[in-house]
Amino acid sequence: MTMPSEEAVLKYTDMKTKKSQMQMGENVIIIFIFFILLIFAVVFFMKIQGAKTKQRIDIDITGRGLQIAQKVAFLPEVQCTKDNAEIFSGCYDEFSIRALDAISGTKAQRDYYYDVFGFSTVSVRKIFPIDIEQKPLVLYNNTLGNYTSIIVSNVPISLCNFLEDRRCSFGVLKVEVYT
Amino acid sequence: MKNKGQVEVQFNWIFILIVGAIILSFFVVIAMRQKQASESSINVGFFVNFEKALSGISVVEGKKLLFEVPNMDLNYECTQSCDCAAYAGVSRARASASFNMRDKLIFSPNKLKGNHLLTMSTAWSYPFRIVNFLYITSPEVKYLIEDTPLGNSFYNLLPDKVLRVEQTEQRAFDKQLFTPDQPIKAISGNYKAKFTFIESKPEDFTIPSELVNLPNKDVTAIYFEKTAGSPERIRFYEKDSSDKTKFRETGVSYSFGEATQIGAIFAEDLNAYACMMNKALKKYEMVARVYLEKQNALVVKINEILLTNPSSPLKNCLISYVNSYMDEVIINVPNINFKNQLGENDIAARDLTSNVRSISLQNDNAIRGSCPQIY
Repeated sequence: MTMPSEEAVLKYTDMKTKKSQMQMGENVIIIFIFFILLIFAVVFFMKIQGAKTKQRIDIDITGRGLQIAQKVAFLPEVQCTKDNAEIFSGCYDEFSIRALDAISGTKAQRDYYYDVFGFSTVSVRKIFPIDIEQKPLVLYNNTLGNYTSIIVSNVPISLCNFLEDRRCSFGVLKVEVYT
Repeated sequence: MKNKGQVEVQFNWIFILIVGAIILSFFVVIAMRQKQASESSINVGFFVNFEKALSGISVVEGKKLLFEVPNMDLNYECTQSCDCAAYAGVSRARASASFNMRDKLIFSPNKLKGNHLLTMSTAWSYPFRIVNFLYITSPEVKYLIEDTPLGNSFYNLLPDKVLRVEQTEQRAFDKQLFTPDQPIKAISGNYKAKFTFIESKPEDFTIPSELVNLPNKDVTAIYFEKTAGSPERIRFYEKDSSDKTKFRETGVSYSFGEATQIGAIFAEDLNAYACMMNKALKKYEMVARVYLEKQNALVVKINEILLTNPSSPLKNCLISYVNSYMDEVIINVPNINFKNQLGENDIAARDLTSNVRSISLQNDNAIRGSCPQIY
């Protein structure tokens, strides 16, 4: 058996080192690509989560508008009563509404109702029989300076006057929530 | 050469180990973060739904709802400055989710253990309807009411022991009547007990042995005190730290009607009760202002009608709209403080009670005279 020449051994060693270096380079590239794909996946996942959160916030804002409308609809101070009992939901005493309208600009009123209604405007308008001279009665008004959107809820109501004609009119309760 | 090959193999293994450990720890961290986020999301989701449910219940009088709770430490706390919030976690500072109660008037124990929560709403009228109170508790809290005629009426006002939820009967509320000088049966599996005394004094009562090992703040009592010529009072007690079989008084406050007394039964302590009642007084003042304005508007309108028709029967209504009593209510209410009252503000509370009686009579007169009601 003849021994390989020194040149052949060096060539063989050099080839092996190059092969190892290439293998190493391959490994590094694979890991590098793996991490890049991972980062892409994480960014994609976070974007989806962000979109979902925005959708949830939008739903919450709409829900908040409806919640405020619900709270106004059941305010005991403006609801109709007969013999110390509530007549039916959706019935509002016109004099109580006017009374709330009269104090709606006061600091005490705004301070108290801010916790309940936040940045919103709550108003009542008589629809039928139509009264051209009548302006909408504002129960609460606190407008947000730089608002981006308004969520409007209109609730049909009965507006009853128990003093003069003892008749009820058809009206609309409008709740505008600023965000 | 052999050594170089061995080093290469070893290096490969070390490289694989290091990279493997990095990848593994990366996924472990992501999984842990995800777990925390999902727990937090469940808790936040629960609070969002809970808030919506409470908003629904708070507008309807007499509504009861048994609410399913995920597995978490649910607490409700009012600080000394009356910042009240519900939170999940061992402490408010380290809560995984919390929810500020804002405009809601909630009477509840601090700790809400178990898989269910009972919520109930009751209207507070004094004499006109002011607001709906919300009562929240766990079916694992024991409520013991002294067996007297008034105690029986409180017992009946409290929620039923069992509520029907989706065709199944669920344990909703743990209440029991007791006689102070007789042994109390069936106290077990409760983490909290609240006694309500009507006629006998809590100081003379001996706490049952089953409750002696519970923390002092978890065995509490209230006493409804009625003294002629004085506003109704509620005395608050907790288990004495030196004598675990006795109650020690922690403070005294007012009560204005049944709904406030039920509030005291559900409230954790005097501070929680006073925070809610002081908040309720602000609404009281606002409602009174609306009715004062309504009385004024009615008087103006009736006078206008009388100018054109002096014989109108509405002139008899004017007496019902004399606004001095309502005016007094608006003056009295800001002077009342429900925090530990030892008699100094009794005048405002006494005046409020008498003015309320007068307003109620005015309204009854308006009804009898076929005039529009004040409230």
